[in-house]
Amino acid sequence: MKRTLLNLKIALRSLANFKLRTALAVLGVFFGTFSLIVVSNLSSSLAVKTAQEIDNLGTNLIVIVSGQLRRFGPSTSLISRSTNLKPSDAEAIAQSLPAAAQVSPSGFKAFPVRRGNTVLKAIAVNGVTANFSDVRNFQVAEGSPLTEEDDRLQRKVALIGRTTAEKLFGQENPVGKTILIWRVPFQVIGVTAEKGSDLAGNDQDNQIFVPLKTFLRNLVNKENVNIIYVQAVSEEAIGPLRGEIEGLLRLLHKIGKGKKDDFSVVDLKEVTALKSQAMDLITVLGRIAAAASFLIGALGILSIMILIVNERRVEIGIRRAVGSRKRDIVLQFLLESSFISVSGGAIGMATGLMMSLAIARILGYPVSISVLGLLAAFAASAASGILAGIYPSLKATTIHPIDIIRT
Amino acid sequence: MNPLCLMEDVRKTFRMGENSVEVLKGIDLTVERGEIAAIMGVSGSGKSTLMNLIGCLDVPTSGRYLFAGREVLGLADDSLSELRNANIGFVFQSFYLLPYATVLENVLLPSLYRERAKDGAEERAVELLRLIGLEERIHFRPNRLSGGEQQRVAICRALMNDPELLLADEPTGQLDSRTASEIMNLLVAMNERGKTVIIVTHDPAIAAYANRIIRIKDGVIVDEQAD
Repeated sequence: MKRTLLNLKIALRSLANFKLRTALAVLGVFFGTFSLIVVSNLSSSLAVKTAQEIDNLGTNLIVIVSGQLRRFGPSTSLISRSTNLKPSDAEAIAQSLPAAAQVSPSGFKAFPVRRGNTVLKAIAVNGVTANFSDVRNFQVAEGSPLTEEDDRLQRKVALIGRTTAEKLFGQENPVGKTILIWRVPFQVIGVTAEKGSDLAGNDQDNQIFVPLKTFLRNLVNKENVNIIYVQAVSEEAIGPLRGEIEGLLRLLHKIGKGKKDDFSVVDLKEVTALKSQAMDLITVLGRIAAAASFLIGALGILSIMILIVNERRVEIGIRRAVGSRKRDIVLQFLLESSFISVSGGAIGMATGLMMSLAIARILGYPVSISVLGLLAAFAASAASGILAGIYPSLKATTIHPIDIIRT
Repeated sequence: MNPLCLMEDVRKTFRMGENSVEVLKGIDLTVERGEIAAIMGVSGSGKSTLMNLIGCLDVPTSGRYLFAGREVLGLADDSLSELRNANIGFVFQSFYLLPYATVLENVLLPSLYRERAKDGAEERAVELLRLIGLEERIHFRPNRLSGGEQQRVAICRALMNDPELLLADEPTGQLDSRTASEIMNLLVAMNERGKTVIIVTHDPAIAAYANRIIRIKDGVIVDEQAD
C-alpha cells in the first residue's frame, strides 16, 4: 500500500507537466458523473414528492367518480356525466364490503362567497361527511372539525381553507364569524391545516367544507354526489376492493351485462404512476448523456495515458531493470488512469450534488440523495479509467530496459 | 563456493528481418564472488550484449549461463525480474534517475519491487545516502544535483536491495576526470566491502581500476588478463 502510494505520488508529479491535457481528459468523466448524479437525485426527489402527495391525499385511497373518465396521458377528463352516484351507494359499500375501512361521499361545486364587502367569485365548496378529515388527511388547525351531528342536523357550518380564510378575513380570526355561500349564511367553525397543491396543481387550501346534507339540500338541491372516497383496510386490499366496488355499484345501478358503467373507479397510485413516467424519460435521457460523456472521458484518458507512457519510456525501462515485473507496470498505469478518472468523477459528483440540491430547492422538491446514483457514478468513473488504461499499460510492458539503456 | 557468473559457450543471435546476426559467438567466462572486473571492447564488439546477458536483462540464444548457481536460460520474464531485483544493481552511463522522484524516492525504487516488503527500507536508503555524503539533499529532485552527485545517487539505488553484483555500464562516460575517479573509488570501495563489481567500458584508464580485464572483440573473448 505504501509502495503504491509512493508510485502514485511520483506519477502525479509527472502529470503536472500536462495540466491542461489532463484537465481536458477529465472533463468527460466530470460531465458523466455530474449528469448521473443530477438525474438520479432529481428522480429520487420526485419519487419522495409523489409519495408525499399520495400520503397527503389519503392512504390506500380509491376514488369513485360519477360518470365515465377517459384518460389521455397523465390527464383525465370526464366524458359523460351521471347523476346516479348517491350517498346510499356509499352506505352500501361501507356496510357490505369489509375491505372498505372508511367511505366518504362528497359533492362539490364552485360558489360565490361573500363576507361583508369582500366577494370571492368562485370558491370550491365541498359537501363532506365527518370522516372526511380522516380519509382525505385534512386536519383542523383552528376551531373544531365537522361532526356527524352537524351533518344529521343539516347545520350551516363551514370549515374553510387557509388561503380562503386569508382572502376573506385577512389577519382576523375567522372562527365564529359568518360568511355567505351563494345566498346561504354559514358560520365558520374552523380553518383547515395547510396542505399545499394537489397532484393536479390545485391549491387545496382555497376551498370550503360544509356538511354533506347541508350541501345537498341548502346549496345544490340535489340527491347525488360527485365522488365517493373509499379507504381500503390495507394496500394489498386496494386491487380486490376495486373489483368488489365495481360489481356492487353495477348491481345497485342496475347496469346490465355489456352496458357501460356510469361511474369510474380510480386507484390514485395509477395517476401518480403516469406522472412519474415523464420523469422516467428525463432519467433515460440523462443516462444516455452520461454514457456519452463517460465514453468521451475514457477516450480523453486513453490519449493522455498513451502520451504519459511515451513520455516515461526511460522510467519504465529503469523500473524493469531494477526488478519490476510486467504486471507491476500494468498495475501502476491502470492505477494512474483510474486515479485520473476517479478524481474527475469526484469533482463531478460534488458539483452534481450541489446542482441537484439547488434544483430541488428552486422546484420546491424535497431533498433526496440517491445513494445508488452516487455508487453508479463512482463505479462508472472508475470503470472508464480502468478501461482507458488497459491499452496504454499493456503497451508500457513492451518497453524493455535494453531498448532504453545505451541511447 | 560456486562462481557468481559462469558462462559456457554462450551465443546470442539477433534476427534482423530475414537475416540473423550472431553477436556473441561462444563466450566462456567465469566471474568469482568478490571480484572487480572490467569488460573492454570497441562499440560493435558485443560488449553491450554481453553486459545485458550478465545482468539478466536478456537471455542467451544458446549455451549455459549460471548466475549464482541458477540457470538463466529458459527463465520466465517474471523470474528474471525477481533475479535482477534481489541480486543485481545497475549503474548506467546516463544515470537514469526518475526526474519526478526525489533523491530518496529514487534510491527506494528497487525496494518497491522486493518480493517481501522489508521494514526500514527508508532508513536504509537514508543511511546509504549519508554514506556518500548526500544526506542533506534527500528531498531534492535529481536535476538540482551535479552529474557526479547523480551518479552517486544511482549507486545508492543499485545498492538498495543489497545485491551480490554491481554492474556498471560506462559509469563515468558523462563525468569529468576528477569526478570520474571519485565514482571509480566509490565502486572500488564497494568491492572492498564485498560486492562483486563488473565495469563495462572502452576507457583503459577506467579499466585500470579493475583487478581483471576481459577484452571482447567480434563476439569472442580475445584476452583475459589479471593484474
